Amino acid sequence: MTAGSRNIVSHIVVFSLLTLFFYLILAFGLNRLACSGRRLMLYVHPMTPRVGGQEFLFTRDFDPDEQYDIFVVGSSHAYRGYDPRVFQKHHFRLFNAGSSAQHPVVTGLVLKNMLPQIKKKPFVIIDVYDRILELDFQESSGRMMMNCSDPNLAKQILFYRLDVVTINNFISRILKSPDLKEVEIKDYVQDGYCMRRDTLDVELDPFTQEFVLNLDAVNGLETCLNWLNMQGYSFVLVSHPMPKQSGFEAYHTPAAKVIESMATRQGAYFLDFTELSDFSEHRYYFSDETHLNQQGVEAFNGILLDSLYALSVLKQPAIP
Amino acid sequence: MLFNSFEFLVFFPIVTILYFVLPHKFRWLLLLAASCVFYMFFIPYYIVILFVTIVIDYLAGIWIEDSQGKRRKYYLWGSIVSTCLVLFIFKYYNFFIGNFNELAKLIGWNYSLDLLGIILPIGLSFHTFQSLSYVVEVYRGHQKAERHFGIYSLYVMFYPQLVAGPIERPQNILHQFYEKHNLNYADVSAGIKLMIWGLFKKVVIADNIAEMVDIVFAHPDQMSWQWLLLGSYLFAIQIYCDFSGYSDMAIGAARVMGYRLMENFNTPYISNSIKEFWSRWHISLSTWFRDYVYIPLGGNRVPGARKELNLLAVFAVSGFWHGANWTFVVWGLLHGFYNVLENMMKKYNWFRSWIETKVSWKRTIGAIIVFQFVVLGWIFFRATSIHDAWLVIKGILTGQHSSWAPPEEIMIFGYLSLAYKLLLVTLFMLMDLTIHRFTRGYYDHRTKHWFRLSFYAYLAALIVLIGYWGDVEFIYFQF
Repeated sequence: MTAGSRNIVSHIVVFSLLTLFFYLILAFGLNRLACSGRRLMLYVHPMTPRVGGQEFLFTRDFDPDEQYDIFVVGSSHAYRGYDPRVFQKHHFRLFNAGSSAQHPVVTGLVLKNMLPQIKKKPFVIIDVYDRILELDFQESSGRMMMNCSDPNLAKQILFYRLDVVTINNFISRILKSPDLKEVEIKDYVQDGYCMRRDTLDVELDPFTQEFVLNLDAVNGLETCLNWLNMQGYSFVLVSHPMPKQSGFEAYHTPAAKVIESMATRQGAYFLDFTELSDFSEHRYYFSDETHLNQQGVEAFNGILLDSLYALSVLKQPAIP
Repeated sequence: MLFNSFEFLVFFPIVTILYFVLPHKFRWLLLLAASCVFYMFFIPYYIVILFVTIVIDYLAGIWIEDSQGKRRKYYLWGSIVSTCLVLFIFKYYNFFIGNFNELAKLIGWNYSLDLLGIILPIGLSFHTFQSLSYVVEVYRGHQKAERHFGIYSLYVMFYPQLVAGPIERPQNILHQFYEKHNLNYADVSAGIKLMIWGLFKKVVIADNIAEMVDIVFAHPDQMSWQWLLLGSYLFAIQIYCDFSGYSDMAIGAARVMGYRLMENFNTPYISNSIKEFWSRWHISLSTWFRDYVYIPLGGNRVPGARKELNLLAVFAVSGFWHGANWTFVVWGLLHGFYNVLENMMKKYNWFRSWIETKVSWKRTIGAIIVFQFVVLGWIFFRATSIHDAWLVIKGILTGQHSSWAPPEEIMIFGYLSLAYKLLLVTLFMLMDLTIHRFTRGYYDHRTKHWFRLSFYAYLAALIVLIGYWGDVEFIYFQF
């Protein structure tokens, strides 16, 4: 190495150390100092995941010593669509590990992280709302990384996609104040479930959006199902009912085809209740254009259990 | 591959280290392979189109040099037509067919031609113009035809400037591929400084305000005149930071390996006249049009009216170069009109002395006035249609929905976030000239080494922490 190149290398090393120093100072300040209950980081970079919310609540409530019979994963459709209290009436202990816009890759990481902690293998319900095949990884993983109570899950997300945004989120997770809450979920009930009481009271406009497949999400889901199969878990893919909306079929059909073919490949059932007649037409089952309200959840959960019994993928427990 | 991507963060040091490790005779091969990889990150098979244009102009250059008389002209025009044909098919075919179909519908002719389902190859307009520059310079005898196919390919494909310029001249860059560049502290340092400053402009400033601009221009009829005005000003800053940021990164990346690319931006918003603005904005393109279109049309030698007409034509073509949309043509024509007007006004002494003044307060007022004219042009440049541009202008002029309250979509970021963004932009505008000079080493003799090192380290930390990362492309990539 010549003197010239030694000079360059030494300068690059000093520069890198200085950058790291400034980065840590800035990251500490922006994540520790808050204004109106929010970290300064959120003002200078609104895409930064907020502290608190569904990811925080369900990971906090997860108890590995508890014997869960059914384990639900998926997007907000999952944590708003499967009520542990309804399942309890049928003598099933259900845990809901759904989170907002949960990307299938994040679903996979949640499953791999949480399921092995449960002693007896639970039955897994994967809620597969069409939009999960279009989701962006960063938004979903950021929220999970920021809020999950298990540091191992956060590390797994970090190493899954080692990029600038993920590293920043990981550093924010470490530096944030432990008692800070930037998101409050008022309708959280228990075991990962959130309840909605409001009713859809507007006429829905025709659905015009085109389905745009995200290959990353599709591959993530396939990997996830593959893992469940290899580990010997019984599972089913479910899409819960949606309110009737003209034009929605054109969006839903291609998504359902992708999921159906994936389920067939993995030897699993895909229970598509999206356009369930007699259900989708009743607006009082829904709280908005995509989510069920409590009335809808109770009705749907009953229908789902009947279907699972009929298909013999879930055994009706003996009533004590 | 984007400069603001994690891939580039890995790609760039690997290529640079290999470049200096390899013996000189193999370096062109490494750069060519790296450039192919860089380009193929977008749409891999489009490299075939690039290859076709390279072969055409490579052969044309040799044939022009080896021929005499009229044959030279035939080869030149053959090369120009075939290169432009590629540009026409991929960039303008759908535009003309779309307009033809609209016209046919208007006159009640029930006939429509099919559009092509193609995506514009990235940077096509840039490398096409670079190729054209080569054949014209060979024809004029200013440049010897390049016989080494690999070196010629590298001239067109050199990865730092492949997709968004600067549009180089063969006289400036070709000989540099033959020269041996040793690892040099001054070049590495200057290059990295430019890359950091360019990246800061892109990911911290341009991308930070992009979402506000997008919201304003998405529904101009629903915005208050205050926000239409603010959105237009913000777009002026966004496009400047986006494009000059790319150029700085390109110049910096080349400089680290010892290559000197031409300067593309020189703080254009301090311009005291439109002419000065065009000598500071996208310099490599404006000088291209000057050298290869305006001067061949007669330049300043032709009589007054013809000269002004040529000026208008050149600016209209320049606008059309930017994109196959009437909005770009209007933008170009508007700047052409500004230039013509400025030329006409120059016969008044007070005007000439004003635009040539060195007095700083006069220059400041002049720059503010020129900036308003430039922003008016940017409205056409940013709007998706002439109708939308008109809605923006009409909204501002008629005081539409007067309210200082930010639109609902902008409010999701909160007032503090908004205040931060506006403060960032204001600080940038106030300090642009100083930092531009600082990054070019103007003040090196007046500042301590540790201060400069700390300044860039601080910028780098800000880039990593508060920059917008992800698939945010550069605006000029679409051209």
